[in-house]
Amino acid sequence: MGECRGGGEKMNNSRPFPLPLIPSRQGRGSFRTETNSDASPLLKVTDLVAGYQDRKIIDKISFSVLKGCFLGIIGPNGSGKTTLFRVITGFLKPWGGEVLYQGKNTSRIPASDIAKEIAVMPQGMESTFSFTVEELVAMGRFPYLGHLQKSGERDRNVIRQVLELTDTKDFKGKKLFELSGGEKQRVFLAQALAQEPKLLLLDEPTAHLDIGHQIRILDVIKRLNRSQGVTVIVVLHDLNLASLYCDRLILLKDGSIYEEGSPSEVMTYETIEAVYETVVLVNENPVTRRPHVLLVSMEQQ
Amino acid sequence: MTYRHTKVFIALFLLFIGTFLLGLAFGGSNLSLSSVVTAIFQPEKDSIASTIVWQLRVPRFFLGVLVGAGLSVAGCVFQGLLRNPLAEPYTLGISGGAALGATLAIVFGLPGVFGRITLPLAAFLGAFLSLSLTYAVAARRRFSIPTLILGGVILSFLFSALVLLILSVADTDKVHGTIIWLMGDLSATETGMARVAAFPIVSGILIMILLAQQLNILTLGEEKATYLGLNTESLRKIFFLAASLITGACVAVSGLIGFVGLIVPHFLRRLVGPNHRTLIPTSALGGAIFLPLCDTMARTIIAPLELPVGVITGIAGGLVFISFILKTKSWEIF
Repeated sequence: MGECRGGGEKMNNSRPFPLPLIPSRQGRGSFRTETNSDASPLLKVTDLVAGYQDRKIIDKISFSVLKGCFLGIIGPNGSGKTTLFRVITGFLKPWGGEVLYQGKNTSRIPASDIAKEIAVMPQGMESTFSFTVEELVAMGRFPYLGHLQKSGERDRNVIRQVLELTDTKDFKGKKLFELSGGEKQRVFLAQALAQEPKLLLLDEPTAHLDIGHQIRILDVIKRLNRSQGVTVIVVLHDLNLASLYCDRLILLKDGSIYEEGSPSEVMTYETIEAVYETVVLVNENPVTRRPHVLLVSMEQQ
Repeated sequence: MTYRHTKVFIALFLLFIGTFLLGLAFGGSNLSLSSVVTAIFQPEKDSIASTIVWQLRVPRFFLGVLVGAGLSVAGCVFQGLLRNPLAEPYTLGISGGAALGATLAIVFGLPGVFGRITLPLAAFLGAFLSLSLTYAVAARRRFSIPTLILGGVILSFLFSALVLLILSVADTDKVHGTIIWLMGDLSATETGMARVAAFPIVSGILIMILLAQQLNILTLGEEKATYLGLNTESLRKIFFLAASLITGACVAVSGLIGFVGLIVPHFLRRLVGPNHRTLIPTSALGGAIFLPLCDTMARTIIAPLELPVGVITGIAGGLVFISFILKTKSWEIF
């Protein structure tokens, strides 16, 4: 457990997020440890139990994530994906167990320090107000700005780069409601990236998007993961997207981990049929050599 | 701040000066602009004009500035905090609580016992109590915005029913005074009271200006704001406390003046955008223009008699607002 098998690629340039043009700002955040070796997990979750009010949703979940890993969390509706996600991100207090980031319990790290290390893109982000794209992305710099501090040269650089990276700079002056669903999603991705995270957490970033926008979003994330060593944990609904992009998968069923491993280990037809209670075929994608799930309707069975 | 924002600021400032001069010139007896200027700079020359200007109109104008700015900023903050276009001290039941408090005080003859401080104090307590009640209901489990808005609306209906109940059984002479107060009025307040109210209003507005970027982040939703490192719960409490302090103080000195907290922020959001760093200061300035302007109208329309300013803000504001909404596409309202 805890191993991060990349699809044949070995992560060797694990430069922290600060993009190449920008010199890393040292000494920010009291718990940042530069000596952290790649062997110890970036995030470790032990015996997590959580739920809402008196309903338990997830039960005794443990796993760990190595630096540079691209981890996917999959599972049927109601299996606890979003609940697990919210406990990891600290939005939901666990009933039991703990979440360790670089060996430190996340509940004991000040929220403003966490925001400089971990960026989160929740499900279905929207903005009620008609902020411009640039204003929204600039809000991602909030953890770095002190009280009333104006954004500086470095903040502007980061904002410019994430706008470029997510291909949103052409409409930076537009208001959110003028954009399509796929463009909005990229804006909120840019907002998360403006936090310069070492760990990026995304809850269904491709929901409601067409295949072109799904690929475009995940490609940006994959590029960051490969070139800058940003660790990624993503909740995905689409099994084939999960297979295509993730190094490792965690499959949830009824609030517990049913299977864990590389896509080809997790996505066998026996496992998928058992968890999703539907008949499937699992092929191999001829280009990527990764498993591909094919659906079969009731009539054709 | 962009070029556009600077232009809006300058335009508002000029409007403010204009409103000030208008407010000093018009009223029960109309003064010419030159006699107003004389009264301001050489008060000894024309003693009647300078008495009217300095003793009556200047204090009243600045009371209007104070209350207008306060109600606008409170409305602006409630709309941002609750992400709802209709959030305002009025709709959230705060004003209703104040009305109930003041009505109870008048009907039970408390002003005879405690003196002139009674009415403002009772209104303030009523405002505070009603917001605490709504907040407590909404925060029972995980804080819920729809519950808070719905609770506020229900509470304000309940309070107005209670006010009517009290008025229907109370003495006639007491009823008249209460009704005038309920309609919102800038004339009755003494300068001393206005000075006391200035402290919570001004400091409340300053707190809002300091926390404007935090409010921007909160509009992204509780969850995302937490991920950006905000302590959303304590921040929300600070905003609520400051906004209800402002509202309570405004209601205490001026009664129920509706619509200001709705119209001014909505109008300015169209001009300067939703960024609270510019929106809060411009709303304060906008409210400081809108209310004194309405008050000047209230004093002039049926002079020498006066209308309660709440009637003017209600009618003028409502008409402006309806035409404004009809011209706006639904998703652009914010």
